[in-house]
Amino acid sequence: MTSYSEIFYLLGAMVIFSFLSLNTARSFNSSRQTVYQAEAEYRAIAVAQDELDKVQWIYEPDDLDPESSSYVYTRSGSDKYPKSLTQNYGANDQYTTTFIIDGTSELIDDSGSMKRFQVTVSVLNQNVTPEVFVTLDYVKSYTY
Amino acid sequence: MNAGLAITFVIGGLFLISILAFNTQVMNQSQELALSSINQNALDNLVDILDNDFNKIGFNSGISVPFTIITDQNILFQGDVYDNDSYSSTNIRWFFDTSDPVTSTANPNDYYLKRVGPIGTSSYGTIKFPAIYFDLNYYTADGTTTTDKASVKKVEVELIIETGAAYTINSDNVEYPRLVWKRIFVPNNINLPY
Repeated sequence: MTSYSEIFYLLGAMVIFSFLSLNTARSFNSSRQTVYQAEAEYRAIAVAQDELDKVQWIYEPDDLDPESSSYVYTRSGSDKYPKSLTQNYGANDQYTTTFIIDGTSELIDDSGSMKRFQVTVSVLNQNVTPEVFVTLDYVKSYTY
Repeated sequence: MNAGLAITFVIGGLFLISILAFNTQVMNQSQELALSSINQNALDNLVDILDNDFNKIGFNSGISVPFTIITDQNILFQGDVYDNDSYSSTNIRWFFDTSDPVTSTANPNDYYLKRVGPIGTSSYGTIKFPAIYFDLNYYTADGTTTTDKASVKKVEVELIIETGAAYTINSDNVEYPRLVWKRIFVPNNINLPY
């Protein structure tokens, strides 16, 4: 009987140890994923900033008006949004990430002498799980 | 030898080996996480300075073409990058110095990315950051690559950094956590509508 009880003790210890090791591995995996997510998010923010930088140089208010035919964030035609952007990194372009960029614009204020548009740019990175989604807003004003 | 004792040794030995293997794995993962976080902070700091400098290309310079050098790994431009110092518009240079490897770290891949410009309210000098890759591309307003200083409206900066220390994957293989970053700057002062 003594030897049987020792085997049970050993089995119990091994089960507890495996639970502990599994939990530790899970915890590390989750932390690592958080770090990777943060890195992917950082790159996605840079892409969204690039897109907003372009908005700074839109001189025609009509280009930000969703009702206009020259609306930049059009949903039709060859230049339609959402757009896919593949970025290569490294001396030999050895790293690749694909982003999906979407943008919308909304007239939030028209005072009679000034129009204000709120431009929202969102960037989605599906190369990581869960997906990274970043949204940046920019308010562009035009006097007329 | 008692058979029970021998079996106990075998089971105990296996148990010990699994604990040791688990310990090694935990150590490696902790190292990887710590190094990745340090790397992320380093990139964040570097990007802050790059953001500041590149967005102020041409600021207060009073000239239409603020660039003196535009090559793949070297840019020299004029700009008032910090308004509260004693310098007005002055030369700022960012270059990747592949003749100057970082000797203070174990990483064999890193070289100094150097910034020459104002580093205080009244001091001008060089600060350097370890990096493994730095690349610049210059674009016209419509997004075409250019080497003509007068036509540059956008500057693309690409950066790869690795940590100075490594974590061990196995006895023959070490890994340096790596971060890549890319951004296209559209500086206001070279894109004015007149």
